Amino acid sequence: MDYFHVPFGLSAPAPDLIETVPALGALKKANPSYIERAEAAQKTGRLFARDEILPRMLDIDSACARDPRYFDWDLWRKANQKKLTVALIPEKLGGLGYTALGATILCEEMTSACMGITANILFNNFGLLGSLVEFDTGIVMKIIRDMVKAQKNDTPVFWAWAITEPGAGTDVEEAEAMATMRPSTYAEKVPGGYRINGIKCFITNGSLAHFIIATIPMDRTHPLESMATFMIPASSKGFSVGKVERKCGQKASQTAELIFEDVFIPEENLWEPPGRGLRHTREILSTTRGFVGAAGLGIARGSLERCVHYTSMKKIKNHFLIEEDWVLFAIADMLKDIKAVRAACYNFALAVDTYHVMKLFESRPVRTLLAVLPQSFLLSDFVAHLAASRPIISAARTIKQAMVPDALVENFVKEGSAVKVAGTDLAMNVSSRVCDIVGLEGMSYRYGIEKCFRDAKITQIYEGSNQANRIDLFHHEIGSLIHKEAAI
Amino acid sequence: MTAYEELCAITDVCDKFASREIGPAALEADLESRTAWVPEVWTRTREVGIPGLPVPEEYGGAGQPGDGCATVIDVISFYCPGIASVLCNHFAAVACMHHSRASQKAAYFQRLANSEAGEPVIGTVAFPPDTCDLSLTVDGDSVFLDGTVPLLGSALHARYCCLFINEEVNGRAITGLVVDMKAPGVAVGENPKLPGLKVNPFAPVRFERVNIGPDSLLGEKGNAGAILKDGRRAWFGYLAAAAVGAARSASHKARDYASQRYQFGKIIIHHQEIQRMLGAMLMKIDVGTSAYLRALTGEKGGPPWSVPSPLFAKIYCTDMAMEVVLDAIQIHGGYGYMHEYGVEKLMRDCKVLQLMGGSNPSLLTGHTAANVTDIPLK
Ligand SMILES: Cc1cc2nc3c(=O)[nH]c(=O)nc-3n(C[C@H](O)[C@H](O)[C@H](O)COP(=O)(O)OP(=O)(O)OC[C@H]3O[C@@H](n4cnc5c(N)ncnc54)[C@H](O)[C@@H]3O)c2cc1C
Repeated sequence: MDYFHVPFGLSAPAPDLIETVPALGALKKANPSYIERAEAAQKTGRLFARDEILPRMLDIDSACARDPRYFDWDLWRKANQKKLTVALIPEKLGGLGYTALGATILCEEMTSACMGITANILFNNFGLLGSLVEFDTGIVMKIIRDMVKAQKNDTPVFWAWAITEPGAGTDVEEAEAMATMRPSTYAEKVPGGYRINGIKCFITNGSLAHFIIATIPMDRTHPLESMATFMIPASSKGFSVGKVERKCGQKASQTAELIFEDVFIPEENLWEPPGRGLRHTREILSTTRGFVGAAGLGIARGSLERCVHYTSMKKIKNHFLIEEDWVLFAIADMLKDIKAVRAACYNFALAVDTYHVMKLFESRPVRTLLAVLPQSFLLSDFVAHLAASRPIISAARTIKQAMVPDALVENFVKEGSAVKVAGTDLAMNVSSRVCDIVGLEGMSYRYGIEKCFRDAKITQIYEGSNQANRIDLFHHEIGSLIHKEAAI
Repeated sequence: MTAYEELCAITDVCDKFASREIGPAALEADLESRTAWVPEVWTRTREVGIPGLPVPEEYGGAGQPGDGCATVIDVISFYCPGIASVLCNHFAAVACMHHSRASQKAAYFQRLANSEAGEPVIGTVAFPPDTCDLSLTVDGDSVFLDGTVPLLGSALHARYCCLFINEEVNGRAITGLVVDMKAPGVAVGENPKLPGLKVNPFAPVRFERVNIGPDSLLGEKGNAGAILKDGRRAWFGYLAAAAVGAARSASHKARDYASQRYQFGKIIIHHQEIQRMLGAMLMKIDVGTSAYLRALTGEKGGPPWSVPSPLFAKIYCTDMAMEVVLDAIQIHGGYGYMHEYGVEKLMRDCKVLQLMGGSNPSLLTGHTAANVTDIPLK
């Protein structure tokens, strides 16, 4: 972009994580490797965002406006070659070994350039996140091996996560709501597996996916009690992609309708048994809401950076727009909010790394094993077979269940909801306010400022509408303290 | 018929017209950024006399006062804020012409009223600071106009543009002009592809040695301050009305959607948070409607210290419309983000309305700065 000239944000010469969030400096003393990986994530993300995403984001946006199925494979390959598509997989297994903190920072950097493109590259990790919930070590290893192999071959393996259906969005995310849900998609038990019928809608990457993780009830009259989680290969007979939506923004990311007509799914693809489907969703939400908050933060930041660049080159009479006092105050105000939300997002990510499932990768035994064993061994068929053996699976599950109990999941949903609402409201407020600062000319398509504004709105809706997130936040923080019998 | 009954009759006709001719095609026109739709609609609006509403009756118009015209803009905007925004500029151009000499009125009003068949005639306006770059040079008997208007509404399809040049820094010497956009030397630039009001053919316009005949001057040279003030007041009032129409549309869509969507154990209109949002929408729309009407009638009526202000109406109404639309999308959940539901279009439209005539924070700042001299220093 011709106007990115102020050495600020994405166009700063050298990213400096510790300068961005000074408290991380203290942590670096205690755990250098942890922060170094986060620093690497920032650097990789920033360079990729600036050199690859920024120059193309508008062309991609307008190509997708013409045809919602347009996909820039060339850009995706560039990201893939940098291993961004397998960022969360440990380095020794062929990924980048980014922690939740690293992934949050990566997400912030990339979304500050373009939210839709980021979704194409990073949302793939849903597959890994999903498999970590059940923690069937055989499946986890298989997914890791498949993803790493595909990365090496430069061929995509896309995962989509499908919970929403035409008649239920909030209802598939909240227990109380799910109890009253009116499902249209359902599964039936048949010999050797399950038969699935129905429609899921608004599924990110649904039209590109090779594998779909879907929550589907076995009994439509008792959705909460019978909700199960299935892994559905897109190659299954009877599966098809319906329309790919025409959206306000985030156009680079495809949002699709998925149609299931008598799709047969073998027994082993049942990831969570009936009654555990919501629990699966909640565990995914317990980490992803934080990432969506970080994406909101990135959109806000990208918007503000464009504002700084535009206003510092926009002449009004004999001075620059950025020299107007009212602009100074507005920018300072937004900076303040961005800093506060960034602290909250990173804090959440630190908690995920310290207490949630990611702590597994950070634990000493795992780190030691990963350090001493050679990659060829770790990715060998032998290890894969071992991981798929009953005793290993059940031992791993026991450890995982002790590590991530239900109460912890709900606690993280709560904290994640706070971060999600804060980050996404920030995205909307800042991107809208920036438009008001740059004025009508600044809204010209070529500056990408109006695009931030269009992109921002969806973040308040998906991963649970911000109302649903507020309900979660209140319910777990306050609601549970209130005794109904204590009426005055 | 009382003036009120007359207005009701007009809005009724316009509403029927717009629901038939504008509403059904608006979404697709937005998708294709079809600016050519404007002259098509314009030709049809003649059936109901919309372009001539503010033009005095003796020139073939309906002689509606500002508040009546604004109400019609509100009605049209409900169906398509893009078309309404073209009307805002057209009506504001007529407002500027009200001050012109009899010969000019005869020349321009009839055409702007579009009461006769022929090419559709659309008027538009450009005010400082957007016209700061313009200058006039006298060369013998002729006067030439040079410079650029960075972004002009209706540019591609407008026939006449009323514009004002601030020739002195202190803002006292203001010259008003009505320029024929087909005159030699007028070059309409490339559409900047704004996110909203996509059917409105915005563009930068370059004037290069455009010969300004004596009939082009609005009022006297250097003395058009009052015309500018009036034209801008009308324009702000109309923009406010367009924002209210867009907000009404969003609130109707939200109410209709909320009345049939089942979620969390209820039809969602029974959730209190949805009720609060819908209530806030109606409240803001109601206050906004009063604001633009009062601003345009200029009626005292209220307490002596309260002065009706079209500027404040524009700022309040466009800002509130943005709030209303954002909540309306939220109520639609994921569907709100999809083009076919039409609410996300309203968000994009309202964003551009917020910025027309100057962005709201800059207008507030400028307003206080301009009036600071009136505040006595103790
Ligand atoms: C671009 C995009 C990508 C998406 N990607 C995915 C994906 O990959 N996978 C997937 O499964 N889904 C995806 N979704 C769906 C998304 O998660 C849902 O749209 C979202 O959860 C909201 O659900 P809904 O649209 O059905 O709205 P609804 O649940 O119908 O909600 C409508 C409105 O009612 C409000 N509401 C509901 N209950 C209450 C209450 N008790 N009190 C107050 N207000 C209430 C909501 O906040 C909302 O404002 C995507 C959506 C979009 C637009």
